Amino acid sequence: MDFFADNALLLMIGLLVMITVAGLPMGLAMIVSSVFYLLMAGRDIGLAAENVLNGVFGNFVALAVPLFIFAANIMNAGKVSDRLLTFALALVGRVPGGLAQVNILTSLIFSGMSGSAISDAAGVGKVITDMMTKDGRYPRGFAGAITATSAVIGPIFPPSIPMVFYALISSTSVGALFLGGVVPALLLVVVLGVSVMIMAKVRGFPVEAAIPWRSFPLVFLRAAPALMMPAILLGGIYTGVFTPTEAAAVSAFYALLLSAFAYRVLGLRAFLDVVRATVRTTAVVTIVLCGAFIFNYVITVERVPASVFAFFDSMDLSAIQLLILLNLLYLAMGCFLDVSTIMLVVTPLFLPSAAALGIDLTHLGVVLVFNMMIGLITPPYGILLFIIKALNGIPVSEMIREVWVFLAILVALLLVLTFVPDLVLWLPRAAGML
Amino acid sequence: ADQIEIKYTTASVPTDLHTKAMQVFKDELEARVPGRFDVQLYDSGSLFAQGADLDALQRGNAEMTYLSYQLIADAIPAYGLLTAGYLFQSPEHYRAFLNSDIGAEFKQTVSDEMDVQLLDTCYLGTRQLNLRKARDVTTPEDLAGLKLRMPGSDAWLFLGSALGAAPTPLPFGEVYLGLQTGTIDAQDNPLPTVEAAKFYEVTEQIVLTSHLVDGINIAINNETWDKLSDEEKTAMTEAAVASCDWNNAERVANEERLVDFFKSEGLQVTEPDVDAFRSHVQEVYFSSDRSADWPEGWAEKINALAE
Amino acid sequence: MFLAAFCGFIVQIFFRYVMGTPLVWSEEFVMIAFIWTVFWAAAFLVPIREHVTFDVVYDVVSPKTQRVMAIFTMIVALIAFGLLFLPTLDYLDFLTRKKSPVLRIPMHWIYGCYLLFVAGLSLKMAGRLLRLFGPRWRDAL
Ligand code: NA
Ligand code: NA
Repeated sequence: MDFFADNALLLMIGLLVMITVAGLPMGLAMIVSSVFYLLMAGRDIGLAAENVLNGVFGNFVALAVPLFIFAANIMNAGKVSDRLLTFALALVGRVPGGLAQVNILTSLIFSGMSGSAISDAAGVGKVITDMMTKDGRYPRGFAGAITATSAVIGPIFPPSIPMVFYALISSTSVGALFLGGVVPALLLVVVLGVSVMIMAKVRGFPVEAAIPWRSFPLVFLRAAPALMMPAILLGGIYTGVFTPTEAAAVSAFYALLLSAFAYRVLGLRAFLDVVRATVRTTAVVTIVLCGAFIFNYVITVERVPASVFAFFDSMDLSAIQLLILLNLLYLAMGCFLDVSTIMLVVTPLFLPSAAALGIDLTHLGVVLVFNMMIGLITPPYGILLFIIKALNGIPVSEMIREVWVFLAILVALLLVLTFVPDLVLWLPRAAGML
Repeated sequence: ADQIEIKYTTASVPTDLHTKAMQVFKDELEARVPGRFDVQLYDSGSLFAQGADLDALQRGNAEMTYLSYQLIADAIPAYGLLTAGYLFQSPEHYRAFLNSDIGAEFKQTVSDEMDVQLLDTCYLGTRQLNLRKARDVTTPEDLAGLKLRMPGSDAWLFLGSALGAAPTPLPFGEVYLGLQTGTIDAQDNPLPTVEAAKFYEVTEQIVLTSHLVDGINIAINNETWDKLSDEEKTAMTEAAVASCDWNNAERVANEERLVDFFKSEGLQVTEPDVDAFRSHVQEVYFSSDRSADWPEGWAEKINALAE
Repeated sequence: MFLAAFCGFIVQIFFRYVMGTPLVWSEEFVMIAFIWTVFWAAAFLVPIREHVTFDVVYDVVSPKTQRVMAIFTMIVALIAFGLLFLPTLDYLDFLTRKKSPVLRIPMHWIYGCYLLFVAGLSLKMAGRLLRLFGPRWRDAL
């Protein structure tokens, strides 16, 4: 029995890889392998219930996810998003790769009200992915890949949940971190836009038909109520009428009002279908989260992060070396672990040494959040890819084929941000927060 | 004999003084009984989420944690008394209570009903009001309608309304944004929290109501405690006292420094009529249902221990 | 249940801003509705193959290999869920002494949905396993 107890972690990871590759759903696979770990290590198997339940019940912010999905589904069924996107199309549709450009722009707009990449992919990301894949206009994998990539803007542009976590453990300013994310997010939008333009030319992606200027007022009017939604939400959050989680509920409620009464296209039967679809998706997404909760417990109790960093501490590094090393390490961890685990469990271990080497902790925070967002679309554990698969039915393998280019762009931008701290620090300094 | 594994877990972040005090505990214990214990420290709720560590102790999945008076009152409503505003007046007051006759009775009841031993009480700080927009605050009436953020449990919300405000539950992680945007008008926490969470960036005023001198207990589960020899129990208790000593000294010094710091950040720091607040809060507590099952005469005895 | 959570939210916002009196129970109410929705739906509404899956390998192998893989994962998962059942019951039993912070609802009722999840999913997986062994196994892939 000692053999099992001593090697429980390795055996568990082996089992996890095996059953995941064999097609057991991710969330269930993490729960299943953790149960075997607890058995082998002689710990209380009830932890696989306790941790999951406390994790879900205590995570108020997690609620924003199903509510944004709900809003997106309503907008879909109620044709609200169609009007919204028709408008965006009229604006940038003529640029090469029009719909993909619209995809990137809407991510920026939506990130102004959500702190999580998942709500973006689940919100307007779902709608526009559907549009891009309709009638085979774009390859499915490309549509999924650009949606996932642009969704990472969510937690980089304020507000941002990971940045709040980071501020708490590092004693940096939340306000400064939020502002620090603005320039990197805008840079990302520009770089992605230009790359899509080039790819569109090379691969011959469709340009959207020019909409005559005289019909523009009509397009705008038809979309106006829907266009007001981001305005209401942003205004609501920044003036404090509601919290970001409540904002998700408001957006769903507003979409419902629009679809049912203003546009009169959503009947009771269609509405119940929307509810049912939302509940299904919510369950699917949350079960993955559940798996992460118990899996994180195992990693923590086995002190995996602590041993890794004891090793790094024994090496003598300069500030730049440490930054590069951290970036590499976080990229690797991001492929397997979720953002909050890395942020809350791993980051505190090296913050003192980073500060000791003179690294600006606000700069570091933005770089690390950017870094971890890359992990959200990196195979094998690119959670955004899984979510888009769950929502749009695009096979993960097709998205992986297309996502490499975008990964390269993100990593290049990450390097620029790492070596040019002023890109991050300029705005918070200008605002007097540093 | 085998080493005894002590998983010591907290939801607080590494920069909190009482999180650092866990390391002091570990070192002091090791110095007293070298090699006897394998103390593993877990912070930030990395092992068990906030509010779940007590369950973990009771189920034998962790051995030690910090246990708040609020959680004790949840399990044993009679001890709601100990969470009342304006009851304890200083860090020493807590220890005088724990070491008194009624303190011994209290510890025994907690052991019987919650299956944990309380080793010592560490000072968490004195809670003050922190307002988003400066206003004139002298008496509880001045807080009427003020949306005051409190932790989302019954006892905290009651304290909020006893102060005269409109308590609003909000998870801690949303407080900064809530203050920035005006979802809430105020929050209450000890000054070091106002600094650590950067609330001073988004607020204009601190009102020194001193409405709650907060303390938190170092707790170990009975399953582990009953395995220990008398010498080991003594070593444990001494190590706990040493870690609270360190924590208390640091925290008191820190609070003194912070008043000046907040002023230099442009905040108004004002003194209300504390007596008006105290009598109002105590009256609200004692005229409410919740004081019905409070132990007879304890409030007076605890008041008498204040010196 | 989902609609209850949603309505709870709307009511919370309405009371806070329109009536000016924040509700203290709505957040907890919403979370209870949420957690029950998730586990109940995961147990009874969502087919196993609809969950988030790492399908890179599974999608390219032959149906026969898929059958072997599915049987393997179903057996491993069933063992794990079997192991999990009694400890979950034990944990819920432990919770009988706890109540939720605001509404004071017994915690074992709130968390009871997990037992439903474990049992419901086990039944579903057992059903899939039976079909995988039966003559129409291709339908269960
Ligand atoms: Na997008
Ligand atoms: Na954002």
